[in-house]
Amino acid sequence: MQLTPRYKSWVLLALSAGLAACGSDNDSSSSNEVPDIDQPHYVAQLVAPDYSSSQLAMGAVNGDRSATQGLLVKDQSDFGFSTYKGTLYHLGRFEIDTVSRYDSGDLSTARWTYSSRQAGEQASANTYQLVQRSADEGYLIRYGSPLVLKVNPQATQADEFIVASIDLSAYAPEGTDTPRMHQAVIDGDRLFVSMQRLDANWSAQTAYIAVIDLGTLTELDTDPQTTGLAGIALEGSNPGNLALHNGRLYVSSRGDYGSDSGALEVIDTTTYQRTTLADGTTFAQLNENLQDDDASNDVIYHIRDVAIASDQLGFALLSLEQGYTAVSSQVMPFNPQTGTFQTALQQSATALTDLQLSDIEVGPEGRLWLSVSDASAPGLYVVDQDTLTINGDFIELDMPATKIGFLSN
Amino acid sequence: MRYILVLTSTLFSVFCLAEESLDTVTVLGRDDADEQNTVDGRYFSRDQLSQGQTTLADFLQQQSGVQVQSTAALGDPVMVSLQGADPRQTAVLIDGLEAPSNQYGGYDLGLLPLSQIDSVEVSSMHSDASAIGGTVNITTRPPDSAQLDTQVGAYGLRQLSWQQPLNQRTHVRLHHLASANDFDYPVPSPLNAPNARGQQQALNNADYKRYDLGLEQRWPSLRWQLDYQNSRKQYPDYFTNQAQDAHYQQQALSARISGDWHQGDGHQWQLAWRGHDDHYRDRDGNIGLGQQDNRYFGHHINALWRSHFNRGQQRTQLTTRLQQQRYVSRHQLNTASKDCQQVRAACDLLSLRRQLKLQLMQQWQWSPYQLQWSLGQRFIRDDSRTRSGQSEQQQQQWQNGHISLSRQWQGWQGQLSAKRAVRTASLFERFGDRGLLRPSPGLNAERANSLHLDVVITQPWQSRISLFSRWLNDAIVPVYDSRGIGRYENTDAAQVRGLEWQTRSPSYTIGPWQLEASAAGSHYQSHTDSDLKAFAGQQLAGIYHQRWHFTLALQHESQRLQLSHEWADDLYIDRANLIAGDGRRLWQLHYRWQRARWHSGLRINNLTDQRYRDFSNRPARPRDWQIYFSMQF
Repeated sequence: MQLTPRYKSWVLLALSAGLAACGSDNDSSSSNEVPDIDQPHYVAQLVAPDYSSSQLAMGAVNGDRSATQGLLVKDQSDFGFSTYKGTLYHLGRFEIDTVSRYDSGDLSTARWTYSSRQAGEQASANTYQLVQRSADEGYLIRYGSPLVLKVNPQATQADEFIVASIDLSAYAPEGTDTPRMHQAVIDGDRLFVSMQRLDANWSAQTAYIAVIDLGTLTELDTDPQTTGLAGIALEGSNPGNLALHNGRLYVSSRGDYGSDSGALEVIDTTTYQRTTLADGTTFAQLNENLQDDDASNDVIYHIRDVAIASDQLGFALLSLEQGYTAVSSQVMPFNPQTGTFQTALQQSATALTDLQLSDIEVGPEGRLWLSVSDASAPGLYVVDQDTLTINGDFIELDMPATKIGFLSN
Repeated sequence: MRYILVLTSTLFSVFCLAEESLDTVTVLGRDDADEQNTVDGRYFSRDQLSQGQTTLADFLQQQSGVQVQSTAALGDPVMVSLQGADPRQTAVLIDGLEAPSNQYGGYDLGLLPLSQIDSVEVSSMHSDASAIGGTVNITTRPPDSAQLDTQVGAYGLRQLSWQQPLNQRTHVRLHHLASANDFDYPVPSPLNAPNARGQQQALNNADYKRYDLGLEQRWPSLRWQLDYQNSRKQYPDYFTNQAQDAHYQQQALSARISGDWHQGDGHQWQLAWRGHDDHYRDRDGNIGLGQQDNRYFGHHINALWRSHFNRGQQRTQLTTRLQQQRYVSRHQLNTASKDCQQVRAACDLLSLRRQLKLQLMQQWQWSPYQLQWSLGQRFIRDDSRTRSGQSEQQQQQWQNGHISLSRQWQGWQGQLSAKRAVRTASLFERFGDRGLLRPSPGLNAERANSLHLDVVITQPWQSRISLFSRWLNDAIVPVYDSRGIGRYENTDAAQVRGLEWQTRSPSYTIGPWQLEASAAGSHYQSHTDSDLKAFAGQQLAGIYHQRWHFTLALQHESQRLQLSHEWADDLYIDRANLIAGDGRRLWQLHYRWQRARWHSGLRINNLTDQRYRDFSNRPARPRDWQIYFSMQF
């Protein structure tokens, strides 16, 4: 019989005598039960506050949303995931370099685990996303490499997994080997890849969106009239998240960790025309202490995330930061067509006031899901898009969620 | 280079002085040959230390209540934990002075060659009551005659120590240690076969080489010593095991002068300086994120004055310590490190800590009782500034103390004691490096209150039992926010209860053989409380909560065969207790042949070649062997 460490502790302490029992309870629960994935489920990547471990949480989108935790427990924290219908890909990032596939909500057994680093590549691939076009066609977005890899998620052997590669090394700033590709979306037969383009000192250079023709696996020139890089230059630096809705690609960029608030931009995926919806002046009322001579107390907002619920409603997540210290978050609803912003979501969903939020996603039922990253009371809130009020109970988690996603057949 | 010049010129002057006729040397420290168990602590002599171990850490690892935290490769930092406390909560004293801690707040036990050590005392109470876990008190001593110690072993281990008295007062010592560290380990993602996860390969680029040169002179009431150390540690890429050239080079020069005199009362003083200059180079950017050519340098200055006053049955000791630690970092390939604006780029810092520690200790003896108490006051001033002029300061003061009452009976001793100990945040915890870890200038010290009951039995078996309970407040924990930016915070409290015991049989004669047996164990229970939900109600991470150790020794005239077994378990890798660590069941075999002027032997560690992951969840060192030879001339 294999004793758990905690059980051994009790047995041995009983033998060694003289000590009062004082065990610890662990509320984390794990389950091998396979959820009914015909009903949509949420998944959340949880990371320990000291980055010493990570796990996944999962629960139903509708009805009782309480989370099952203790799934895909790892002794490293740098994990992310991507979803495609009922399939979850667990992505080991920096110096982990694995992709594991879990089907039908069964997170107890990986269908396969393959490396996201190719033989001979010296640097960690640091894969941020697997964006899937069809059952047998996907693309690995690798932060540590200049190559996007075309992969076959149906591969039954490791040497069949990587099919081809697309070279984006032209975007690598001088002195670096990689353009720091961050996220991607597929619109029809084109892949849009955002690149942060950090130089050797980690300073953000002009960010770009590269557009790849998936038929030929070649990059499209989005502005043939001008020379230079073929992609779409962004106004905001350090792009974070992409949201595709009805032929429009929304890009949030957080800027730097100083006075640059970043931007929220939208790109027409047909004409590649780029429009700025928000920048450092749009929410100037949120900034604090800019007028005094002391720059260290300046509070400046950064545009951290974007999620689109409908043609008329989108959400931008703003992070208010004092230098490197995150103060609080604001969620700003807006009209994706006109770029008109409403008052902060916290006005109607008061439970969100003064919280630090790390991710916003629109769920399959059209509601907005938000991750509370405060490590003392981490969890998820759900907000109705019609009333902009909290829907249901707060979903308590043991650790902050860095990413929310959804599974549904 | 300047260190070498200073050392060479000093050597010249000393060789001239050494020709003079000199008096008998006064030796500080105890002169016992065997292990001693008292309620105050455990004492291990040079004879025990030199029985085939490569390093001090190897030796301490075998003692109950001591857990050595080291990775598999020789040359990596080695930390020691006492009574289940974090290694940073353990004090290491060398000849009574606090050993120079690194910027992370711990002392690397690997820095002191075993051949320079005369004795080691492990105590949870008396040597330095300010230490939460306890104190490892190391005493150095020159040899009485020339001595050669050599050792070869698995994975390219080579060790050579030569100690040579030049006359009664002066001796020099040389020490060299090298290891290829090319043991097999499961590679997470082999360079040319990334899907062959866990493939066993010999570790690449892990060579370690180190040279020590020391010179010491002693007069009846004065002693000075000068040491130079140079080491180079190749940094392996554990992830892909690719061949590359990342390495860490360390140079250190230290000087120490100490003295004492007795005019009715006794007085001791010491002054020590240690300068270090370290380089980390990874010009190809194979390890971590980006290319590195970093320099870390600075110094420690320590001054101590201690006076003893004996009045009948009352003994009073007053100790004053002054310390200064200066730490400078330079990231030479990173232009952003000067203005410290990039969150992922490290920052060039100059940090300075100045510390004054006062301690009063009194002891009353009225047979068979002894009462002892101490009170300490510590004043600390920390400063840090960047090259672009940002600066931060903090001043703190803390009190610590202990009280103990012991009684002696026929054949056994008992002691009840209470302690309040404090660990102040290290420079790194307070000021970070701006490379994801931000300063936390308001960080409080960790404070612990503890109760101890120690019993030592000397007949018929020599045994020791310790019970303790410790309450820790404001534990310092790194906390990262959702953007991946971290800082140290006071978030945790913890309670630890423990039982430690050890017993050693007398020697039994069976025909021509003499048989000895010993056993030891440590059993801890811990419970954390935290503002962070994931860390509340858990066990302390990184500590084996259950540990047993057995030894059986057979001796026939000058030959001795010893078999040891260690069983350690109940370990969590992470604070959230999601990851249970591997238990370890290690067998060790040691054969030793002792003659009048020389001894030799063979030691095999991890005899059954158990493959397990250590406290850091890295693959531990597989089976290895060492053959040693030591001779006195």
